[in-house]
Amino acid sequence: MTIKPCIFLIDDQVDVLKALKRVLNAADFYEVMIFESAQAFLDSGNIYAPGCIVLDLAMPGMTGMMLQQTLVQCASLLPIIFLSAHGDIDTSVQAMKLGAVDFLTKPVDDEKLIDAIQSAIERNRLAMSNQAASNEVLQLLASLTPREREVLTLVVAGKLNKQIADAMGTVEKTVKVHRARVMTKMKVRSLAELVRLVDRALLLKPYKK
Amino acid sequence: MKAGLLRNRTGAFGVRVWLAALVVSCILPLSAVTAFLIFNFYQHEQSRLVVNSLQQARAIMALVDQNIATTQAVLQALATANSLANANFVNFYPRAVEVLRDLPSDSIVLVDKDGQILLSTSRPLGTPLPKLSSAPLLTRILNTGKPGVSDLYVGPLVGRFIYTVAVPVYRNGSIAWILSATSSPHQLTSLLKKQLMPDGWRAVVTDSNDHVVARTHEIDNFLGRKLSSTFLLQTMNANEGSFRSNNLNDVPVVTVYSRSPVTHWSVIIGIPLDEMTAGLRSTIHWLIFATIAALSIGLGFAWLISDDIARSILSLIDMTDNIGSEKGTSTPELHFKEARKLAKALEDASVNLVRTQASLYEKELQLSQAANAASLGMWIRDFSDNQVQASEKWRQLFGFSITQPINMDDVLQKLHPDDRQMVNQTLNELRPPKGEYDMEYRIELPAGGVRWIASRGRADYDVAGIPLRTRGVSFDITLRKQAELALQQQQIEMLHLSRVAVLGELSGALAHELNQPLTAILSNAQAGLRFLKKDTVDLKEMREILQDIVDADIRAGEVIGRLRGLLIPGKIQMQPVDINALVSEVGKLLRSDLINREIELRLESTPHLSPVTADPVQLQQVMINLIINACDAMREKTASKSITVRTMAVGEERIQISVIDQGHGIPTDKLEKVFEAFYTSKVQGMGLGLSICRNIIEANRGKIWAENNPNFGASFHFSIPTNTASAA
Repeated sequence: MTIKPCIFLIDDQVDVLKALKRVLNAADFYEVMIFESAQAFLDSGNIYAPGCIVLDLAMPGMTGMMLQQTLVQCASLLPIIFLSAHGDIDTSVQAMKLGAVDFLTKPVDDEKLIDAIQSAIERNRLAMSNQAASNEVLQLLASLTPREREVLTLVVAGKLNKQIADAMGTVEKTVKVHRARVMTKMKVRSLAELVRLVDRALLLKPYKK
Repeated sequence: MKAGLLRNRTGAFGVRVWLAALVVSCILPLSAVTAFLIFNFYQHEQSRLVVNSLQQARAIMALVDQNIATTQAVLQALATANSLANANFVNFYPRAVEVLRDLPSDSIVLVDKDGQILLSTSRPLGTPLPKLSSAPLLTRILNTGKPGVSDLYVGPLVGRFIYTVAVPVYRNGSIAWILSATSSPHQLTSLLKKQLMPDGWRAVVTDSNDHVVARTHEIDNFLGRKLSSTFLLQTMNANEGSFRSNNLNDVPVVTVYSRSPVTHWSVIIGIPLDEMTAGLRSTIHWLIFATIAALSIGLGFAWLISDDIARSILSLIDMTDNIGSEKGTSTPELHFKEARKLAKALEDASVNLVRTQASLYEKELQLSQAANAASLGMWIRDFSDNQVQASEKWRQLFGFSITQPINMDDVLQKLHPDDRQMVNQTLNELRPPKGEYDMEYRIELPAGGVRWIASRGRADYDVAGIPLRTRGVSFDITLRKQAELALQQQQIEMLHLSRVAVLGELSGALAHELNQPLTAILSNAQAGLRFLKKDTVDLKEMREILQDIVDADIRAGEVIGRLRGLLIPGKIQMQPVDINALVSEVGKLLRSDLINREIELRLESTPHLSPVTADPVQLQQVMINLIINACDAMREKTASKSITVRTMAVGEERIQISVIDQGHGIPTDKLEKVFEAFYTSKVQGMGLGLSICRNIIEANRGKIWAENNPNFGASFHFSIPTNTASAA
């Protein structure tokens, strides 16, 4: 991951793209790529690249919101700074919920934009390193059998062996065997260590139901 | 009038000529037939006369023959006398004188074979007598031994014309002497005279040499004369016959002749042609006279009758001219029954006409009262003199006094100057077969202000299609017109308000639209400022930045311009409009809103459409309304939302614009209703949008209608006439 972070500008208005790129260049951001539509960006294969996206909210075809949803589904770590012509509160709340880092209204002041981009790039950098760590935990989790994963879930939830056995319809002794095997496979020695590891993994990647 | 009886103006013959022709055609053929019959009869009579005359000629000839034969018989008896046989002339002489008394002859002569006259009763016996110089008869008798008759010759003893009948006297078996009796032709003439022929007739006896021997008249002049050679030629071939020639007096005659086969003497009867044809001529004269008389009487009657007929008809014509007039009709003196019947019928017709006129007048009165009650002014313009007849009410409306004569120019002068040409043109350009007009115009009031008049009517034409007059009614519509103008004003205001409302709805999107160039401008400007702070300034870069700022500013100006057009209230401005350009403008105006709604707008424009004549702002308003309605119809749809706007030509004269959505469609029974005011399918809708659209399209002479698409969604179409259509 030695690639320089890049700013992806996505807007259907060519003159706006041109002006924004120009102001970023003037502020010494040279890694700037521009796209006239969301689809063009998706097609460029940059969704897992480091950097951030400056995204126009209202575009024909795939809108800014749709692109955001797609990126979330693809687990892209690129933070999104939304640009909007007018502050639509509903839309901005929804965007923020999905992880937008900022919501700027057009016309946008260069200082605000640059601040937002800088913090977004920082955030992306952190996220990417976290992801590297959590990927490790996820691999451990993947080595568990379904029965063992069921036991792990109940253990992390703070249930006693007796309660777990009742819930799974088995005896306490079998639960103890599963629990010991989980501790071994997850490479932890204490219950507290297991809980912390699982929590971190779940924080970085929401658990799919 | 008299000439008219013969031939009237149309070229037909009068009754007098026809009657005269009738008389002539009755009498002339009759006369011709009579003439033919008479002629035929006379021909027949003539041939019968000829036959009768021939018989008469034959009879006369027989008499002459008998005369000669008798003489021959007596001479033959005398020739056998003893005295002669004994050559005793002394005894024979008294015997001969005795015999002569019974004969029609003058003398008896005895001749020897040499022609020496031996004895003649006309001389005393013993007188020396001459010798005959030439004696053809003597020769003939000596040759044939038969008795004969001589031709006419001059007797040597008497020295005048005589003829001789002679017989041979045999002595001892041979001819010794010739005994002959000489006769004067006069006794034959008296024989002819005894025949009692009509006065003009002439009968002639000729000898075998065709010398005249006897004649009924003037024998002394013609005795011994030879007949003409033409005559001889005619009689050569037959012993009897008839032919036409001139007689010895050179009078034209029909000649009948009969020739004796014994003596070769002939009897010729000449019937004067005059006499024969006199009867025919007089009959023909009588016929001609009778014909002329009949014609005169017939034509006279025809003249009198035709005079009566013509006079009756002429008086009936006079009577017809007076039908329905105020003078009334009086029955003239008429001369025959049919004319009287016709006169009676005309009188009845006249009475009916007067009655009808009266009821017509009554109806007219009622009509004009009704018109007055309804404040209708009535007027009639006569094209021949351009005068205008008008009712009292009409005169009031137009400001004319009751009695003032009016012509068309006076009427035009009363009109508002702006309307004069239109009214004049409308009234002068009425064309058959309909020739109707219906118009509204203003009259300038003397006190100022205008009076609105509605006028409608029609023109009457003659058979050639030339206008005779125009009739019309006019009425005051000032109040209605004021209300209409007020309503029109309200409608304009409402149109404007509805436009403003639409803009209000679009305001967010429009702000966004305006934000784009502003964003570009701000960012470009800030970039420029940042570049300026650097150590080296790239002038080329700076120039590009400034140019982009200018471009973006222009773009912002265009957005504002589009808005201003819709916001400024104004009158309807009809002008040529390029529909495709207008649709593309609307697309730009709605771009942001459509993006917000996540709807794609597809323009399917047919290139090179003829311009339409319309108010562009109003058409834009309709398109915006229809597109926003289409957006609303697709509100509940989540994916692949699009609206198609299609332009196309319908024939030569209309352009059709369609807005096609993929929404929920319209219930079939509501397709008409959607254009009614206050009909809405939206929760917060007023239901005015489509009714305003319809008003606008109809004000632009167009049509608007809705239909459901075959698969889903609905289409709204409207069509507007092109420039060429409006010019036509």
